[in-house]
Amino acid sequence: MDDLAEKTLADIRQLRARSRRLAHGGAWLPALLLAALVLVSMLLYRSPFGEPPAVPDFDTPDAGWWRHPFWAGLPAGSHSDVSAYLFWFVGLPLTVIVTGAWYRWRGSRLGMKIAWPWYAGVTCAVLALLAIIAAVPTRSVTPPFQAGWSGLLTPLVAVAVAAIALGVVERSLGLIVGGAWLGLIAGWNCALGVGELPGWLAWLLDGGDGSALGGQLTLFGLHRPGPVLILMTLPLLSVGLLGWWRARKVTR
Amino acid sequence: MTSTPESHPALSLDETTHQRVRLGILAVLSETTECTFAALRDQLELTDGNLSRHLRVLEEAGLVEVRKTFEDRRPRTWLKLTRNGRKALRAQLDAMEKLLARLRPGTEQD
Repeated sequence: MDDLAEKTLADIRQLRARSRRLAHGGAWLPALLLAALVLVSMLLYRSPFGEPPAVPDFDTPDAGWWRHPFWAGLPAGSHSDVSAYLFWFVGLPLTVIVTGAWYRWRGSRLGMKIAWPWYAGVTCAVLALLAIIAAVPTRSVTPPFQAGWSGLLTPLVAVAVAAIALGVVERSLGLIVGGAWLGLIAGWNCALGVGELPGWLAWLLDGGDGSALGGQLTLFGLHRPGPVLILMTLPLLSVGLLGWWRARKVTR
Repeated sequence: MTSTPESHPALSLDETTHQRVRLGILAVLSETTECTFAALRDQLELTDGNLSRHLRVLEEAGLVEVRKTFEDRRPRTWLKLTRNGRKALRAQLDAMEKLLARLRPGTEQD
């Protein structure tokens, strides 16, 4: 009886693992789509990698400056706030629509569905919430002031929540961690300024010497939007590419 | 000598879910929101008749929901684990784990 029960339990575990691999093997595409959306948002900035002009041209509206909420995603000079706004408010729902079509096709082909409407609902709700909260009249924040907690009003947080929701639906720890990482990096850069370090951290990195006024992280260009966006999408890209590689092997 | 007949894990085993195939059905369905009859049959390597028989038992017990649809002019049966079905699977697996722990050498109790 001991052996039989043990074998039954082992068989059930194996069966569940196989079913999970099959049913949840499609997460790679939405993960890559979310990462791609964040990476493409680099095009919204005036200088995603290079240094912005030391003295902004005050004659040109918005040149070199940025407004709060950060519709491009990060507090850095963008080409146009309206384009940035449209990019996220059209791009993210489009990503959700493509993801829905992918899951519908996959579910019909495999005969196994997952709770992707839940992911779609959470993503659209967070995006709508962002629009509503951002519409509340408030004092605008301009450099060199830090946005603080209000800096979290960025479309990047909506992408982070979408990745976490996808991770919950797909039962993927990698996606949940990837979403949390994206949210953490976005929150840090939006609350303090791109690449800005809080006083205590700058003091700690200096080996406990000097003042605690803060500093800026310039390693790998992490004080510019481009490298920051790449850094925040690394876990999502890894999960997506690894998933794609596994799915390719399964279908061969 | 602390165990009582009431607390023995064997008594927690449910007649409906303890059957090997039915436990397999619940296990596969627990990993998806909905699964087709054909996909479940392929996963469990069963015949249509055999799977239907076990599904009927699970449906009557309220552990599985059956939804019949037409897709591309073809009938398709979708199966879903109910909340009670999910609870029953968890309870069954817990009871089996506990039973095994008792039966393992060195952990046996009077």
